Amino acid sequence: MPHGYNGKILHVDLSSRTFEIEEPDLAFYRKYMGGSAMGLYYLLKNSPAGTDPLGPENVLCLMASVITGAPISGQSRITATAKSPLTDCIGDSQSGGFFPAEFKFAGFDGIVIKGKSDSPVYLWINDGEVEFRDADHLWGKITGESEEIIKEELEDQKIQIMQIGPAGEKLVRYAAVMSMNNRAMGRTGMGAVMGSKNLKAIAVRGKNKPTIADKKGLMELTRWGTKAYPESHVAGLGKYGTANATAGQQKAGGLSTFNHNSGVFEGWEAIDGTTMFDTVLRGADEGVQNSKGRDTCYSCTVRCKRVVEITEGPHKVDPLYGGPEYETLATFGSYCGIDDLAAISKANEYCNKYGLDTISCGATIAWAVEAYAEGHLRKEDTGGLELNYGDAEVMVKLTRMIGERKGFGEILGEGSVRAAEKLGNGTEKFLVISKKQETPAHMPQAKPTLGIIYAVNPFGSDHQSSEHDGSYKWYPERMKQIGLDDPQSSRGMNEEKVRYALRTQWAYSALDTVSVCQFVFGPAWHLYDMEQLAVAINTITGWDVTLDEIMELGERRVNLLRAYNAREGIGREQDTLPEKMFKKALKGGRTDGVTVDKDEWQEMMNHYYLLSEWDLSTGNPSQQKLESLGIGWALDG
Amino acid sequence: MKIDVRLFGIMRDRIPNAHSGNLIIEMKRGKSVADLRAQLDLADLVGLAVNENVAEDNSLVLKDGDQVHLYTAIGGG
Repeated sequence: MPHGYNGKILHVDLSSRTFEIEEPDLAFYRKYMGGSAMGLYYLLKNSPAGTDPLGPENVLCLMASVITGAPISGQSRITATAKSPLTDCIGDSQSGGFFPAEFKFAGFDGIVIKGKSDSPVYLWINDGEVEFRDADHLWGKITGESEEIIKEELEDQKIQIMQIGPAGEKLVRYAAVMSMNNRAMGRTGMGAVMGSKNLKAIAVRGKNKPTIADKKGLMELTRWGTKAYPESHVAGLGKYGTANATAGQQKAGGLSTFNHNSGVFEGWEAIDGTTMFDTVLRGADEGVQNSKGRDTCYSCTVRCKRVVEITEGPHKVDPLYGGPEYETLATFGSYCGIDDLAAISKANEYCNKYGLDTISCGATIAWAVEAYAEGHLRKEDTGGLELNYGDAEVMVKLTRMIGERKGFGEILGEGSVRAAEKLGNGTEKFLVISKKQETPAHMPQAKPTLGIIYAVNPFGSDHQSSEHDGSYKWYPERMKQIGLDDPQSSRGMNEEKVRYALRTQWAYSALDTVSVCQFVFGPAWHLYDMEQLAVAINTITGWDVTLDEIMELGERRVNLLRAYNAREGIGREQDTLPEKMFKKALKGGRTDGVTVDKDEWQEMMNHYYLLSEWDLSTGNPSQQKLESLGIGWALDG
Repeated sequence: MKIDVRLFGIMRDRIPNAHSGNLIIEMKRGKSVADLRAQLDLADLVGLAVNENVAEDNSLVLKDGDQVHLYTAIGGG
């Protein structure tokens, strides 16, 4: 019996309602460890090139890792991987909470889901036993209702449930996979893939925790984290949430505002994490929000999750559905010109009830608002709705309509790219996307390396796939661990910053492969550094992993993701930024007048491909490169 | 002179007597951002903006009534 993991992968065929259990060997676990690296292994081998993302031949992989469920902060994460119905590229999304750990305790390290059930179904995995259960009675229900029914019918309130809401059932292309009613695998539409398979939920319960190889060593690391936390850089993130970042974003001129036309928002203080802590967190009225308004993931000391409760006014918010993250506050807030915290919290509640990615949802609405404001959309297009920056009521209404796919929400549920194609009339000029995925609320005009990472990232623009620009000079000692020893300014671009983008991309990719939280482990401001990640892996598994091996693990995952796209005919041509970032100067604040310089960006992109050892014209890894990473099979499937 | 200091996020917890998020700091005329940082014992990583503009130069001389914002700058999120 291995330490840290179960040694078992569950293979489910929904078409025949059958399953098999595979027991891969040690070499497999050491090479892929978990997350989408492990998911890609199965996806590439089990689905043909040119797969319809919403067809039964798409394969959905849910992978924890070799350390998920161990008693240390930041390990309870799980990744969904499948072809994305939003991007038509590889899809990849993670979430935390208590589901990932419970999933491991239930006896498996991952699930590979094929086919399509002929009627709604859910999986019940209980201490290694697998059961298919009808879900007709759950179809159409919001997340909170389904969760309650499942727990009641399985007669166990401690069950953890991963599920889709009505948005996933109705194939909104950015539907999320939800757990705990407030943790979302939001990006790339994995909820729509689940919906296309008629798979409503996966319920898990287990009593068998994987063994730990070196309990004493792991406890030392855990105790170190608990002791270091109060004075660490993540203490603010714990107490004030990811919205703690809002002030810094505003000052840097990087707070995405008015659909990325400005980097500063006049109403920023109203949507800042400090305001949120003081006003809408559960318990704020009695001054006990520090205990009542913060939630956590399994065994985590940081407790960064927000719990918002609003009992009065036009936007009452149920704490069951958590509270908005920074991205949510920005996409429904500054992106749309809205400074109404209650309305944003309500939009967040709808996203979690219906199962929607808050980034794509808010950004798609912001795109429509700009297109309307510039006269390229009319009332006839929107079903009679007037779209204006700052109109909180319409934003909340549209969010619900997208969740229900009603009225104008039907078109917006396709994502901004497909909506622009359908509506035409020049609306594509206002898109803020890379690989058809709406851009998060971090701006390449303020953080230039994101201009590279947004473009090259295999699953579309993503803010959690590399370290942002400021950290190279702010955390020089930790940067040295991953081979970065020439600190650079946060502003401007050069070849050393491209190297920084690439090496931190590999580091973040490794974090996603080991399925750990990027707020707890990482190469910069994080609670634990990258060397400590190696200690965590080794004390849990009994292995002798080095940081070099961890970096190669990250590089292997990036190359696997890229190989999947290459098989789909996706390459350098799709490595783009929105045209408006090159052409339209930002207005106001520290980034007033700034654009992304296209010639310089192109030159830096060339340097990125060279450093990655990828083909300059196709932007894809060669067979030789894949073989050097032990994945020479990837392009053959 | 009086400097109007506002604190965001964890800065409220790390500077003594700043839980309300507001501080009035008395300084002698001609003092700079570096002096304010020293007086409040601020680490280099603490973000500091004077009248909404990021203070990139610690030698910037402060004026009576200046509004200073203190915040943390963390990537990602």
